[in-house]
Amino acid sequence: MEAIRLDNVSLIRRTQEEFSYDLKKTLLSFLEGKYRKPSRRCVLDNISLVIEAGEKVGIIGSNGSGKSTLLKVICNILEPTSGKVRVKGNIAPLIELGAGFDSDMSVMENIVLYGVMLGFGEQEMRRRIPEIVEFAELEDYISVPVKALSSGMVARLGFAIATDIQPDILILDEVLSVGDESFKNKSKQRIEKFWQAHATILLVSHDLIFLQKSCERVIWLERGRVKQIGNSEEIIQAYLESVVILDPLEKALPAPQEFQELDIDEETSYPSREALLPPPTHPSAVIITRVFITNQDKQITASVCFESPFHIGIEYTVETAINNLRIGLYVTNQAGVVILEPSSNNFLPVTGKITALGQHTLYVKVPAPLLVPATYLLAGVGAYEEGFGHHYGFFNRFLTFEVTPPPKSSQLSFGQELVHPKIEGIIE
Amino acid sequence: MTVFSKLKLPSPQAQRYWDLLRVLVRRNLKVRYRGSFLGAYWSLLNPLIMTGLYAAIFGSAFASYYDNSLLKYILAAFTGLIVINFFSASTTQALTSVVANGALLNKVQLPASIFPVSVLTANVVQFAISSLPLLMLVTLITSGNPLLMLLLLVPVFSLVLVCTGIGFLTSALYVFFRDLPYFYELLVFVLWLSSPIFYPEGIVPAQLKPFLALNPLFPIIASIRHIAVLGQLPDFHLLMGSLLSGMIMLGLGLGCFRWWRSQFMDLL
Repeated sequence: MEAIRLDNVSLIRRTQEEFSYDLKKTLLSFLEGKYRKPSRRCVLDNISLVIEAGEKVGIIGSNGSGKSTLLKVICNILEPTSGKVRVKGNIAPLIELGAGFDSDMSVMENIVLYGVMLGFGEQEMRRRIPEIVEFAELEDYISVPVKALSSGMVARLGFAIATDIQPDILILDEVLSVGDESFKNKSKQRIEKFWQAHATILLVSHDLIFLQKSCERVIWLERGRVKQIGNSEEIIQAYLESVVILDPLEKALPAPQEFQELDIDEETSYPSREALLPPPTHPSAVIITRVFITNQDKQITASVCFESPFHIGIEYTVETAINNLRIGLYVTNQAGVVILEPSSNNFLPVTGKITALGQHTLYVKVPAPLLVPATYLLAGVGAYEEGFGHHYGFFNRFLTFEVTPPPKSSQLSFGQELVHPKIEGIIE
Repeated sequence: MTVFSKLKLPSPQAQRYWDLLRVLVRRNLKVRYRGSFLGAYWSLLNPLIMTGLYAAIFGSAFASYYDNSLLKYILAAFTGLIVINFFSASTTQALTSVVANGALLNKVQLPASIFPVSVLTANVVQFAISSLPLLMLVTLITSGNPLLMLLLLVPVFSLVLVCTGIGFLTSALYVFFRDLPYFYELLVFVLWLSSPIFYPEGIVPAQLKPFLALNPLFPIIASIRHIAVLGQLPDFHLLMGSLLSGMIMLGLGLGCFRWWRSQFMDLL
């Protein structure tokens, strides 16, 4: 029996960074005739898959490949732009536990509120209060407002509510690690019970070994498409091979000599325009997923003109709350000499928008004229938190771009110099 | 509330909507009245004080339009204020409701319309226990006719329809334009001044009167005044006009909300 079926599902979403949320600005840009339709991006591209009831399926792919979006489409949180989604049975999404809690209301009221939001009846939830608080070990807190609970308690409560009834389909985004050791065991047992009871389980995780052990099939997503789907062992093997090319992640910044060696052999093997970075090997609060070069109008390109400024776009996701953040990268020439080392703390505050949870794109604007016409490389990008060290670092060359010469008429000569800012002179 | 919770609806979607509505309205009311012993009656404080002020300032000047009765002016100002207060409070709260629950909509499958609807319902509940009984009492005293008291429910129902429609419209627009509250405040002020609340209709220049008729609150306030202040059966056209403006606003709001709904998730 089919539990989940997706037929040619595509989802096109608006990219947020360019959209003006302002009525005033939108009206003005209309009047000036500068209004542009918001840009859109295909997040899921023609996905078709069938999951049988009782199957355990893992989903892998780099950050930004559409894993969470796919789960949201299956949960009917997002509606696909085209295609059909069919789901049989009730779904328990364990995406973010406790997302629907009202911190001012008591544990008891929140059980009813959250349960009803998850789709259970109010009467039913009232009957189940004792069981839920018992499992969450919160019997003494039943009339305490949720804001007085510790974060571990809140997560326990969320887990207890969402899993109190055996769901037909269980959706796990990342393996659960809720509360202290004893509760972890308890929640593991409960999940295992579902596992044995032939619930359909969809699992997203960066823990590939765990996935291989526990899932029969794996779906590999890449840029919103199903790259491969099949036996978990084979797919994970293929996935690992594909990331390894880009993956000497644990290596520190290689010495310049190594750079030069690399140069000669593989000059053309680096991607241009944009590079997808591999997921980190250990859990990180910040993950950089994509780096790309754009022209002045933020259109992705492989070459930029000497006379016009350009952007280096760094797409990153803040996964858990952090206090401060700076993002830096190296721009080197082909000889491996670092020409620019922009670090976001020099031009942006280290907290605020930059550390907000979720996905962002940092645009580093490089002024012009500056870089002399040549081929350049991005060789290393990192996200750092003060007092923590790096969260995500990728220290290898991963992207190349070209600075094209100015028109002949400008009569500039560059000689040996590495940079060519506008220099003026006077004779007195 | 217990009576409502036993209600069983035929379709599972309707049942879920109903369950959601109840828990959200209860939460809304609980948060609102926590720690205040006057509860819903606080909402009467504002129109009562304003009425006092208007009576003191404009009472003697405008009483001539109300059969030289200061009491009638006071009642007219009070009914107008109740209506505009309900309108402004419910729609302003509805405006932010979808965006405020944006994170939730990204994590749990919920009908987005539940948020403006639950805000509206909470305001209706508050209205039903505070202002409405007072209005009914006034009607009973001025007319002595309990039937008129029931007839009062027609314009009140229209008011709820208008507010629901505008609530849908503003909550959807706010998803796209986050500076909307600033403009909306202005709009409420325009409606407030263009509804004859503290001034008699009679002082408006004849050329401007057609514009007043565009105000969806106008027929509602006029009908309520006819019933509560004058104790008369209101003009049939006025009553139908108020119902019609309610239906139009609701249709418009609901239509836009549904039309734009598919784009919400990209911006929340």
